[in-house]
Amino acid sequence: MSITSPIQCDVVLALVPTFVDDEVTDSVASTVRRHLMDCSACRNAVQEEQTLRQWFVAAPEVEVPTGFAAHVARRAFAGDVGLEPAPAPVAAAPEPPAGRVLAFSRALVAVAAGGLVAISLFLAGSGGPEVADLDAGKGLQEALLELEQENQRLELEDSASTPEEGR
Amino acid sequence: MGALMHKPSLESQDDSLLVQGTLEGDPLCFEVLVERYQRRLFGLVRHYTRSAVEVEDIVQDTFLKAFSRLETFQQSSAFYTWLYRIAVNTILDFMKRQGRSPIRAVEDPEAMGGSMDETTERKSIRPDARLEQAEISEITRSVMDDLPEIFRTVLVMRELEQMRYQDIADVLQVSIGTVESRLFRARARFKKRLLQLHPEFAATQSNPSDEESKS
Repeated sequence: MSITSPIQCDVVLALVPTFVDDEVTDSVASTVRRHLMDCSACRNAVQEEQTLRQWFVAAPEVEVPTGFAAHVARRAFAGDVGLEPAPAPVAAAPEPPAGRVLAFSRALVAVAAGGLVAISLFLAGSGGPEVADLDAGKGLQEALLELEQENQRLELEDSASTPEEGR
Repeated sequence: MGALMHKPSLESQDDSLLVQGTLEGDPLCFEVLVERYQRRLFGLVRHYTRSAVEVEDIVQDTFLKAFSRLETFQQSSAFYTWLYRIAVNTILDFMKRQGRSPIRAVEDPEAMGGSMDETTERKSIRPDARLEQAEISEITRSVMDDLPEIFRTVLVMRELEQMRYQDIADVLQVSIGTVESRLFRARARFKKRLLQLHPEFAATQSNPSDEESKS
């Protein structure tokens, strides 16, 4: 940038889009032009801005259907007001807390049920545990044996003390 | 407007008289208004949809809405600006209805802006000289289709419809400063997307000091 430039590059750079769009006042435009004569960096910025505008080319003329205006005027005077505005998108309503608790409970029950089914299948597949295989089962078996022996002893005592019927 | 007039004499009337005639129940006045602006509205709407049927529907809907609200039109403002505002709203409404609005709910385009990284900013991108106008137009359109609506609208108005900042501000009911800011961001976003989709047209800008030393 030249020392004699009356405005700084940052000011010019900020003005570049409006300058290229021809939306600055005549006095600003002439100040910018004077600056551009001395400053290649700002000239490049203007060129770049103009380059981008080359992508916006005029599209071909549009064909308007014959009789369009008369057709629209007829519809308008017949009371047609066009389409209603699109309804605003409805946000998904948040699930009430009770619903969420219920959903959680259902999920929990489902998981528990699944677990029980899996255990049952496993036990069925392995034939199930024998009572003798379990420590607690051993104690029970001994208790049953004792109970059976006790019953036999009592029966013997009972038969010894009771007189024979028919005697 | 008094007694009903013939169409040829109506064609030379200004907008405010035709609006008045329409309000007084003369269908020809409205027909002339439609004829006066139909081409510009067709031109505007086709930047938003490729379907000729949809373009016709949207333009028709715009005129019908304008007719039904004609009593609210303030004669102090330009009829076309007022009509254009209805057209833009009708387009956006139509796209919303079709679920085609490029506005992403999670994205606030104004806040996000069009900031570019330094590499993108330093890259120049120009259409290849061998490209036909129709090809350039197609590339531009595909890039604009990807832009948030807020940016696409200002680009259409400024770059394709050649509207002045003040007219854009009037249509969008924002300040000129907002128009400038949106345009700046819109162009930055356009360039960024263009570089993403068509890197083959990119050229890194040479350093100005290098250029000077060469010459």
